[in-house]
Amino acid sequence: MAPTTEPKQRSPSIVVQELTHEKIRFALLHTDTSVANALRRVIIAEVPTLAIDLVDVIENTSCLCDEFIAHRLGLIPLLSEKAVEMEFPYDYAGDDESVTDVHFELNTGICASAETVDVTSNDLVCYDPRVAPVNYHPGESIKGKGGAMEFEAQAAARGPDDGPDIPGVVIVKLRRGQQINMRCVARKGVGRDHAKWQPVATATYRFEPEITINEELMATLTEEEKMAFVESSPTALFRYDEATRRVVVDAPDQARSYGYDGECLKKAEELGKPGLVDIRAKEDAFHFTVESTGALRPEEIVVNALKVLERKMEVTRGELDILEREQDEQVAM
Amino acid sequence: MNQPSRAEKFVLPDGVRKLTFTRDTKVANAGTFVVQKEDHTLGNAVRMQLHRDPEVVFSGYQVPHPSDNRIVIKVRAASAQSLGFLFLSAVRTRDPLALTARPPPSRPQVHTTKNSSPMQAMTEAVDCLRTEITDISQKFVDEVDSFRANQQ
Repeated sequence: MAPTTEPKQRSPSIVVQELTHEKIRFALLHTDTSVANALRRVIIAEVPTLAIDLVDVIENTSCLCDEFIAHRLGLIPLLSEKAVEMEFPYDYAGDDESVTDVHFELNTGICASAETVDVTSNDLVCYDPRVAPVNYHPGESIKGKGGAMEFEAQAAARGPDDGPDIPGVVIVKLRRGQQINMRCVARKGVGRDHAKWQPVATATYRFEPEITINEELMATLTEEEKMAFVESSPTALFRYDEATRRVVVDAPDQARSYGYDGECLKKAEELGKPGLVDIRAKEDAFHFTVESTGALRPEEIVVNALKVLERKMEVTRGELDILEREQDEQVAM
Repeated sequence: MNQPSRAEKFVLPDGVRKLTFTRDTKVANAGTFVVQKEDHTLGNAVRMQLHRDPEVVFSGYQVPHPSDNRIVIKVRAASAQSLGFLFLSAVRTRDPLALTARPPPSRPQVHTTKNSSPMQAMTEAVDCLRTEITDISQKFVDEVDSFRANQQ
């Protein structure tokens, strides 16, 4: 048969480079752009989270109109660990509301302060201990009443707690005599539906640069020219080695942040040595950066995204099987 | 509100199939798959995977309209006799003689055993992708664990 240049089945590898409670950097190696892009797209648009989706306004005498506040409430990121156990409202046909809905209350009471008061995400009260706004500190609310409640979601391992110095998300500001009283329903959803369900602030990948120095040409440069060349790149790509008097590619970790700006190539041309270095993007190495909104842990987002992608393939495969069986039956008849 | 229902993006209406296949009436061994409620995420990945299959002469996908939630994937598989296949093997082996030579008798994985070669190519592509993603998933979990262990 025709020799295959590469086997159909790939076996990619993963290298985690950085992991904090809000960000992960990892490399996906030995695969195709289509797979890397599928992963990126799923991370952004198809990992389920919770967000406020329905708002009942009981009282609103603030300066913002009802729908404006409802929209702002929707955009507050909620801790979404519970999302995996919940159902999408459009998928669920049963009567058990607890499977699809999580209820919140936002009741400030009549503002008595002479000064303008911020209504923040800390003023939201949720009766499900596992769901809360990100960086939730009920003790910081206007009423300060929720302080005694123990929030399981808050206590869950979230890395170092950022403490009450991270203020809540401001929803609206109230003057004396104004009041807000709303009941909200949070539901499970995906970013494809509305950006408020996106679990990430950033989800990008970049190609790894492959840098080769033309040593012969480089040797023709004077020391000053070499130094000037090294300085020309805004990202530290090269280093002048004093001992060997040669220009070397700096630590590969640094080179990974190269933005393909081409400044050093321009410099080479300026020095009258085009082709001094050659920079190519590798086609099978992808450096991902995923920053969470706080709704899910970053590594959880990636794991969930891979599950969603796997499920997609399984469903398609199942449908192909059905089609094939039907074809066989037709042939048999 | 003047906007399509949310569920439309996700839920298959009654009586509509998630996946359909139409055999091409003019070209042998070719056909069109229509996948409902999917987008570039699946379309591009499957198409690129099909490109890796030496028995696939052509594969392409499109999203016919951004507000119709469906993709169309066209596949043409090689048949042993098709000129396409011979040409392809010629290109791959860089052997001009292969253009005139008959394909060797024992060729595994030729999608012509059944009347459904594009189907076979598609099934294989989806299988490969699924295995790959499961593989990535496993490796990712392991990597995160070992990264954490190293940090402590």
